Amino acid sequence: MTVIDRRSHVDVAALDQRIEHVNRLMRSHAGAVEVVSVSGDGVLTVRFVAMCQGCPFRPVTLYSLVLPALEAVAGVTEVRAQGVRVSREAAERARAAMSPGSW
Amino acid sequence: MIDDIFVYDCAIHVYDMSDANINGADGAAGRDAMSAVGQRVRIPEAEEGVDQFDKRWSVEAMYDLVFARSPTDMAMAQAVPIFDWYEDGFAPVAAQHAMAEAYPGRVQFCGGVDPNYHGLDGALEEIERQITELGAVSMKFYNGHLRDSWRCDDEAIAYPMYQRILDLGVDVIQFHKGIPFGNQPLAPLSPLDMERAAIDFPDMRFVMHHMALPYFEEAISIAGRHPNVYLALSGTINLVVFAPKLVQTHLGRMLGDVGVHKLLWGSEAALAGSPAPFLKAFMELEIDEDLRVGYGMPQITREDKERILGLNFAELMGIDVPAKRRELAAAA
Repeated sequence: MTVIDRRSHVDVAALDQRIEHVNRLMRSHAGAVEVVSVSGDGVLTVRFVAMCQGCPFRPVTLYSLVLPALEAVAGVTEVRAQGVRVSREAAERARAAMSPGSW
Repeated sequence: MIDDIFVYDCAIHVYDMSDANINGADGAAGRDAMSAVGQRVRIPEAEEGVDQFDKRWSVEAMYDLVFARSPTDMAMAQAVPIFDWYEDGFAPVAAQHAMAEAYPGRVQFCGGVDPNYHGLDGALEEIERQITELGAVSMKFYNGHLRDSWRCDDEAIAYPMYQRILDLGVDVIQFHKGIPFGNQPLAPLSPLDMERAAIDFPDMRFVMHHMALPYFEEAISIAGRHPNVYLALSGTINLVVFAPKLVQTHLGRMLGDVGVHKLLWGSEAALAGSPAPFLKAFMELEIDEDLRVGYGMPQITREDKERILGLNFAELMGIDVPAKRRELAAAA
């Protein structure tokens, strides 16, 4: 069940639209993300479902697609993904690799 | 409590390795094989005053090992239905029940049956007796034997037992996976046969013990993809003292690919000795920089340790941890 704290300034309609867009891409791998919660201070928590559950490439999908798409939604201050956890070092490396102009 | 963290040990066994319980021509050799597994991971300094391990453990001696010598708050006394070398099973049902009866605030009883040893009808009757008469809150299975192994996804043998357990209001079942004893063949102890069962029984929670070593990758994949499969670190976590990098690697993989909420602390006392030195080593454990940088493994946090050491299994078993802490504090 999705829990959205109404005190947040997250644009829920924009968030829904962005999730739909992300999932359209992820559907090619029979996977998806869904929103778990939005906290009052704008922390968005999502979880990977379907074929993404247990897939070893979740971190790649998270840093290349999910984070850039969802962090851009107005009012979102942070994105957390249940079921994906990497070290701080790996997260920094992934963000650097995925940033514009890094290639 | 260790460092104010609630500890619920998901697997202790009040076992009987006495001569009186040894069964068949190979019984002594089987006992030696099981004993050797324990000897490899015990810390002699923590066992001062324990005269021997290959014996019939009393509930008082188990209490001393698990609760007096170690900062454990609760434990599950699990039957081990290995009849290959034991007349009454390695860890008899009656002994586990006696442990829970002796220390009701601290110990829960997990029953155990084997459908080939008891016969399916006998196993179903035993399940009913152990749950309704003895108060079992979970059931333990050991499907790999010297002969007469059975598959956990066998619709004719295994599924009627799972259904009976669910019908009786119990929804946590546990499996020894990996780590065969003596000449027991390894293949039946592969965790692959838990996957179909977990899919077919979505309302049942399946606990896979010992990280199914050497089937670690299979265990990770199954527990990572199926919401009702949990991994118990029972016994294998004892390697934290001897091979910390190996344990860091295991934990790093599980934290990253399975999720901390699926991981359960288990000591395997008495066979693996006092839990105390392993709890201490676990609290001090960190994921080293080379694993974080080179493999992207996340650092383990205090919150992770709280979940692994007690909160996860307490949630599975419906234990109200704040209330239990108050109860234990008042009793002390």
